[in-house]
Amino acid sequence: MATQRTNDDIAIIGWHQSPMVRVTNKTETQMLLEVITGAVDHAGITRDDLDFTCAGSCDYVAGQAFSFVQNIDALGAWPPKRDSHVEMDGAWALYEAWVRLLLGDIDVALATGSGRSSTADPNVIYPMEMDPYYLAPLGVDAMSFAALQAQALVTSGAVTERQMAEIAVRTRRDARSNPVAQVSGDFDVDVLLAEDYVRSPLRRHDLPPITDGACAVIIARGDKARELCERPVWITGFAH
Amino acid sequence: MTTASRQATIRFPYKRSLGPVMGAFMTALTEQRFLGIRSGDRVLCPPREWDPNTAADLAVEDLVEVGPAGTVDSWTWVAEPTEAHPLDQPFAFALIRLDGADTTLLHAVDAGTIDAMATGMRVAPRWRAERHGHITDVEAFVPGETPTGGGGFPAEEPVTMMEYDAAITYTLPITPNEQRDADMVAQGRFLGLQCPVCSRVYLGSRGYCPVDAVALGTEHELELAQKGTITNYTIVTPVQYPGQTETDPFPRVHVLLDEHEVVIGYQNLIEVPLDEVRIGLRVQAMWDTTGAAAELEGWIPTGEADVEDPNLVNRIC
Repeated sequence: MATQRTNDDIAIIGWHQSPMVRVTNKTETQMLLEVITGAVDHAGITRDDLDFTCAGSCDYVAGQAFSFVQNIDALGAWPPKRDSHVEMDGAWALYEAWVRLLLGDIDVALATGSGRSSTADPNVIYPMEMDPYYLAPLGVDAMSFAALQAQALVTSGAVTERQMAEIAVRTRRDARSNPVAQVSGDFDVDVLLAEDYVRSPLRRHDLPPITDGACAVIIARGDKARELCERPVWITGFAH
Repeated sequence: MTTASRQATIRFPYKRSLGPVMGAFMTALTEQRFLGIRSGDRVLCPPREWDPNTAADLAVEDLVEVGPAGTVDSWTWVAEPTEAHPLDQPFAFALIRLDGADTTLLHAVDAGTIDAMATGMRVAPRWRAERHGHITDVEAFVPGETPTGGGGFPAEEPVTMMEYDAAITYTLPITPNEQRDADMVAQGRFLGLQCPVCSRVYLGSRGYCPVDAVALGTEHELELAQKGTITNYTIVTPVQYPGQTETDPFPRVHVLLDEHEVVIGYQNLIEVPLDEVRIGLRVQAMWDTTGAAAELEGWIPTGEADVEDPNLVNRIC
């Protein structure tokens, strides 16, 4: 028997992804324009129906302070909407939009994630966001932090390099059904494990490809979700 | 896919105040010593002003000496260092628990090869000869128990500030819209884009209508006027921050172009004394056509009578 949903339950009612590519020739705003139009079309609503919007992006990646302000152009800037931005990824923006709808006074929210990681070396960009006294001057990059955590897990016996490679093989295989994924296909675990380390114990398949792209998700409160969508995807929880 | 692009480098030349705890740590580095800070029954190194677990305020009196040797808790081998890394040759980043400390310091280990690295290995600092009170006063840690390098002199005064000068070079794609706009400008002309929904006109580089959120392409293009009216202005008195090449005060103006009513913002105004810059002044574009591609030098008065319209100042976009 299906779980009984109340008006306080929140569901995904539409979404869209841009092509995930190594280098785009579009601006971040143009990519967002495409995915927001795609998501509102998918949900069968218009931009006017959005009560709240939350965008996730990174100024250091964009190479411009307050870069998210011009991204608002992709929303249709008039009349003004309740709007928020997180200097984080799209998943974090979705979390804020979900929390905002839990307040109960509005029904429909949009969350986006966008970025052009191709424009500079992420290993030079991300140390800028670290502790400025002890870490940033050493240029400690995100891949190195991930590797230090992975090494601790491997040393403790919690995970093996082979298990990590098996995850990459599975997700790349699953990605074959996503036509906009940058990396997909059938790979062999032993072939992947024969590759050099990028940051030991992590190899290229353990690390995210440098990707330009954007995505958008529309969520709605219980009654509105059922009204707008035949099969809403109910969000039963968030964890971090 | 090959994409036309341009490069831009942004520098981040920061000077940071260190405060009493990190200032003491950095000063001790110039003396070839490491300081941790006592918090309850733990010693934190690198020292913090607050305990990250309890948020307890930590006192300068509780700074204690740790190290100089320590044990590697975790590590990763960096086979191809970036320009931001402390060493040019392959090295390890390691979490190092200095003797007497309960937390780890992240630093480089210059071990030569990945095979020389292991969790639990012992390392000691290789000091620079010239130390300024900076985390890179330790060039790297090296395998073993004994500090190396060093010499030189400790700081004469307590270290209170640190410099951090980073740069990121971006390669930014030139969109098809921006390319067509640049091609028009190279001919000494302005490209506009008209929204099919609201009929508003934008500069050709934009590529979309922000009011209606629709993409604009070649079918929406039109040519903009070369004359217009100043709607707003400011006189900039340059401050000599890095990258500022101007030395004398200069004007920047918004120009509302005739006919299609596009505002072109933050423009240079030529041949007008600063006390005569005003809203309503009629101006026209002045192009430098000596090169292969025309360049917009700025705007000069047309000599026409000023436009008297109290609403002009509201036209900033």
